Amino acid sequence: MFVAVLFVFTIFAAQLLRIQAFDAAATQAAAMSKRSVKSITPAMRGQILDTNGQVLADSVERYTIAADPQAVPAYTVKVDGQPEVVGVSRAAADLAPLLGMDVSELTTLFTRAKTRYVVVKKDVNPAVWRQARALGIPGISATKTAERIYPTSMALGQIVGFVTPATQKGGGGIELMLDKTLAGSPGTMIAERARDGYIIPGSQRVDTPAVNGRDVRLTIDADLQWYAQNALAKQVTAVGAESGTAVVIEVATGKIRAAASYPTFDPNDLAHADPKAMGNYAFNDAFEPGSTGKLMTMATALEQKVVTPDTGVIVPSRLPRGGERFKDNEPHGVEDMTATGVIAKSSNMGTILIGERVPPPVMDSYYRKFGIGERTPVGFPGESRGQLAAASDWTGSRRYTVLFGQGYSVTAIQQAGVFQTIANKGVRVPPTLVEGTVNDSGTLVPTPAPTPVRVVSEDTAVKLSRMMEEVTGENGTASAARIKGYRVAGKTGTADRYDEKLGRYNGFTASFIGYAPAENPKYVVAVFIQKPSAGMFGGALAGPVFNQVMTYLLERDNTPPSTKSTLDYHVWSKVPLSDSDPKVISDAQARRDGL
Amino acid sequence: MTRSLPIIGRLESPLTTYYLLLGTTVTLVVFGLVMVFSASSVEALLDDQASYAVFVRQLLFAVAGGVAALVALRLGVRWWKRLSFLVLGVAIVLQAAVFSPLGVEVNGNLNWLALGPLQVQPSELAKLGLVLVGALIFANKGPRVASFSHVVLPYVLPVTAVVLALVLAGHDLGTGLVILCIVAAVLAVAGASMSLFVAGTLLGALGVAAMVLTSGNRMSRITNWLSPACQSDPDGYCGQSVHGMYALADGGWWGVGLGASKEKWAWLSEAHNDFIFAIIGEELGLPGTLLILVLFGVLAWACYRLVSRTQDRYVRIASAGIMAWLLGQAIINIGAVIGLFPVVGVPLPLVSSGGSSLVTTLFALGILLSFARNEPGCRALLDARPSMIKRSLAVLPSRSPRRRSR
Repeated sequence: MFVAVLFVFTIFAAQLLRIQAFDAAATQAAAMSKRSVKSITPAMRGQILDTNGQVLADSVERYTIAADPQAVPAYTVKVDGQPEVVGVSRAAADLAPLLGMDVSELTTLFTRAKTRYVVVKKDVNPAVWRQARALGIPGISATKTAERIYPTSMALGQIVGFVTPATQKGGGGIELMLDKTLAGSPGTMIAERARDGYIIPGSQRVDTPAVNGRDVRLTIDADLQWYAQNALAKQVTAVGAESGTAVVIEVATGKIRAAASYPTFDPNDLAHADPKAMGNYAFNDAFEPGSTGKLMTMATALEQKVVTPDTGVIVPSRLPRGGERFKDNEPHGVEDMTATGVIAKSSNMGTILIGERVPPPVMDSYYRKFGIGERTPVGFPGESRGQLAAASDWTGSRRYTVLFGQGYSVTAIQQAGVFQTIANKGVRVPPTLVEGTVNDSGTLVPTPAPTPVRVVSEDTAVKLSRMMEEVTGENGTASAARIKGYRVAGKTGTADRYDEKLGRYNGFTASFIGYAPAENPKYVVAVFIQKPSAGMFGGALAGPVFNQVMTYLLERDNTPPSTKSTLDYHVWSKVPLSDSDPKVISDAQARRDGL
Repeated sequence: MTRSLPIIGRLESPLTTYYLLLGTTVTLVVFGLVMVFSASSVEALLDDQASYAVFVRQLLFAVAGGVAALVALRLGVRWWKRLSFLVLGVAIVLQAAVFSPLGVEVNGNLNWLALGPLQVQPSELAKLGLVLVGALIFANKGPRVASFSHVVLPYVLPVTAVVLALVLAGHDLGTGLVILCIVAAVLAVAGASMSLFVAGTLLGALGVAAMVLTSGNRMSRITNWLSPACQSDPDGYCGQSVHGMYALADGGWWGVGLGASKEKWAWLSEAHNDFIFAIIGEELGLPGTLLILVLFGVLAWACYRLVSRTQDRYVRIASAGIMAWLLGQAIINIGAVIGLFPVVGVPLPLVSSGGSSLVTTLFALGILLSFARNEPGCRALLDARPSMIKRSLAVLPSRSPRRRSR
């Protein structure tokens, strides 16, 4: 009998060796897969900050509370020291005030049949969840989520954008543009659980650590943006316009300090947002700039020595070119102007007479140096590059319309860049929107600065800038943009607005772009009002918004009042001009020159 | 055998059997207490009890069992002969009472009695009774066991038959198997003829086959045990076996460490009971499981020494019966855990949690110890020794100043 026992035990020992030692690996893996639970640790999305560190978008920890209707009835509380099962009604009554829900609503959820999971409430504050958990109601669980909060709501919605609430992924604006940086990557945790779901103590381990998203800092100044947004919204509403934008660019750096866009939306309340208003018009809307485009024509003409600010220009009442009889906005007889006057009075015919003296390929190359027809390095979601046909396609009337800003399209940011170039003494700094990314140690890693491009000489820029001051002068088109004590350089624009849907021109784009003090400007302010129902002229419609925003900036920075310019330019020619004078620009001279 | 290894020869003394029994018993019980504590702590806690609740109960039973063993040790062989029928009689009455309103069904087995705060398993006492009565009957029959009728009457029929019938009526197949082991051992040592064994084995096999074939439940148990699909599904019918295997494999060579079992987190049912061997394997690895085998092996050897050395037929048959009981039960239990046998649900003697089992097993070991004490020369040697208390006190300095060394 003893031998039989030894025999059996030997077989047992062999079997144990097989199970526990030699064949253990596969069984261990099966056991592990049975016990292990993988959970996702959400990564906290980075903040979006304005240039001063003000928080524009922030993620906060939230919980989704769920219930197991089969477990809730076992809710037990101590009554006089004795445990007593109180069940669903008490559970609902205890939770209702915490979650701000109706008792009846909760009771319905807790008594739902044939399910072990019902979502009770989403986006619950961590403090509330801690209180709810402390009740000890069986079957009540929570998963950690995040909620995106936009403290500046409407004012910066079109810049900051939004996240899709369910996925917390960027859906528009900066949130989409920098989604990779902001999102981080979620981690995974592996834990082993007991049969009834408890996590076995000490079994939890990190499989992949969650990497939180990085904070990004924008070039936007939230206070300025708010101010610009308000001023713009008021004006767009007042003139019954379809939309509007107001852009502020820092002259020396090309940094976009504000990019207001109206109508806008509140990223905190996507349910009520108009999908059309969720982009940013400043980047995404391309339109024909109109008279503000004359700046490039004049800059090229000055640079090419075709004119000086004082060159006389005889502007006829009509000018036949390319099969069309061009005219100015206001009918007038033959006028003796200067080149400065052509800008100040925004004469289409004067601009054509000057601009046609520069061959189209040269003109085209300058336009492109100004940044027209090329997407900015910002890369804003949905950003348009505008449209500028090659010089060889400037045929028929277009050869002349491009000179005064029709027949090609730009974005508000691009057009503001043209003025930044002039204000910056001829050097264009491509616009930027992101100051940098905050690294792990909390320091800002700046976005690489864009390479500045010299477009025109300093001499040209200074002269043109001085000419532009006459726009806000007594004979100019934009007296509404005038700011007391400061020299304001700018240009109005009134363009026919092409309607893609109708396939024809419909309505106007009224704009004013300028800067002050003209002798030492810090900011360019560009205002565009699209399709106003009352009025059409840029000076009258966009001028007031420019005036408010520019004044705000000047006051904020305690800018000292302007000094008088050493350059003395005039709108009207001081002497009567003659058709036959070859130094005077006129239609007759053009014919003589075979243009 | 005792001559084969010099070391064993040196260990040889009239006290060897006594100390082997005592040593293995105490080691197994202490080992069992530790493992019951570890295996039950989580489920007790999840059940809103103190995590040591099961352990404390088991500790109290161990103490009670120790007292029972001490009583058994002090009673001589003469007393055992007198008490044999009484033990069996009480056991049969209690076992019958299972079918009264006092009976309690546990896991489909109706073999528990509720006596006040205690639940007892009378079949444990019945095992002991069968051993003692068998020893008494066949010791008295002497050479008459050669005859078939004397073998069968009255031990097999009606005594064993009645006990077996009562146990099986409660659906306790495991205990039934252990009883068959006991009876076979008793008959073998008593000197029943080989032909009887062949006949008995055939009859037993037929009986088991009949029971299996007539019950869909038992049939499916067997087919599931043989089905690889069932043996790899942790949630299915064989879940307990599968989780037992998980536990053993997780333990591997050296174990996950005492207390660190994962399967005891409600995955493995009866972790502190029928499947405690799996938890031992998980927490202590191969050293733990092999140690259990070695300890039972040593226990078997000690029993074998008793059987082979005694001149008293009663002692020989009783020792063989108890050995068959403990070792048979251990083999059925371990074999089921390591997947060699189907799971029938018997506890691992001395180790598994369970009061009735522990107390009666310790009582039985007390009887074996009393037999060992009466081995030739053993009594004299033990009496010559100073008692443990005297020995302990002897190493303390005497209070008498005269005997203090300078």
